[in-house]
Amino acid sequence: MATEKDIENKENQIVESDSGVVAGIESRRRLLKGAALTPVLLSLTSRPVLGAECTISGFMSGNVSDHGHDDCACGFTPGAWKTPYVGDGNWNHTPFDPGTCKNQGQGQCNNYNGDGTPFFGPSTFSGSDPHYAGKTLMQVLWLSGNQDPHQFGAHIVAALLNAYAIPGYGMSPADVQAIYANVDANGGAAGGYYMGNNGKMLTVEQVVAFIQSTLCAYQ
Amino acid sequence: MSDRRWQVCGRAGLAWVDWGGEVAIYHRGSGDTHLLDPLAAELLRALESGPRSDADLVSLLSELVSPEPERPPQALAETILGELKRLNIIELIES
Repeated sequence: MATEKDIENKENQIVESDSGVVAGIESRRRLLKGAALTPVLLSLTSRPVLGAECTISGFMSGNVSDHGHDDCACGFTPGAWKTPYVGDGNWNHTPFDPGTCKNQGQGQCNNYNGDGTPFFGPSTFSGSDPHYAGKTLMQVLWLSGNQDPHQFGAHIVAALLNAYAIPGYGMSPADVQAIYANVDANGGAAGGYYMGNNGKMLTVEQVVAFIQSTLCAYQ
Repeated sequence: MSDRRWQVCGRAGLAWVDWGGEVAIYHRGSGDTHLLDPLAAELLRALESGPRSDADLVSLLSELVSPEPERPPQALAETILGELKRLNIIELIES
C-alpha cells in the first residue's frame, strides 16, 4: 500500500520509461476504480457496551463479560443538579455551595450568582479550560450550546456531585477530578480527549457518554 | 468542500495489515480494528504521515481513481473522510 510520498517516489524512479509511468498509474486506477462505495468494510470494536462499567478504566478495559450495574449506584443528571428545588440533587449532601439565585423565571431559578463554589479550585477541578474559568459549579451546569461543548462541563460537575452525594456511586471524587484533569490537559472540552493508562483514548463525546451511563435517567 | 485539515486521532497511531488491496488497521487509541477498502486506506496512509487538507486529499484521490463524472474526487473524499471521522479514526484540526 503506497503513501502519497511513495507514489511520488515511484514516479521519479520510472523517469527513464514514460510508458511505464502511464501503465503503472492506469493499473492503479483500474485497481481502485469503483472503490470507496463502502470505505470501511468492517469494524471490530473493543469497547464494551456503554454503561457496562462503573469507572472509566473499567469502561475502557474492554471487559465485555461483565455487563450491568450491579455493583454501583446510579447518579442524578446535570438537569437534576441544576434544579435542586425540584427535589433531586440535594447540594446539602455535598461540600459545595450552589450559590444564590440571580434570576427567577416561572417560579424557578434559571440564573445563579457567582457566589457559589468555583469550578476550578482545590476541592473541585484543576485545569484551565476557558469555557469554565471564572464560573461556579452551578453556573457551569447552566451553560448551554457552545458555551459548554458536548455538555462536558455539566456532566463532569454532575459526576462530582454524585460522587459525594450518592453512596455507592461508581466513582470517587478523586476519580472524577482525574477524568477532568486528563481531558483538560489533552485539549479540553472542545475537541479534547481522555487518554487512559492503557493507551486507549476516548473522545470528549465518549467521556460524556460514559458519564451518562452512570446516571439513573440513562439506565 | 471547504479546505479543512485532518489528522489521525490520538498519539498512539495505527498498526497495519495489508493483503494486497484490502487493508486492516488497528487504531491503538480506541482499540478498534477496521477493514478498509483501498481508497480509504490510501487516504489514511497519507494522514498517518501528517495532517492534510481537503485539497491535499482530493489531489491524492485524483491520482488514484479514473475520472467518473458521477463520482468526482471531492465526493469520494467527503464519503471516506466522513466515515473515518464517524469511527473516530480521524478528526478535524481546530483552526
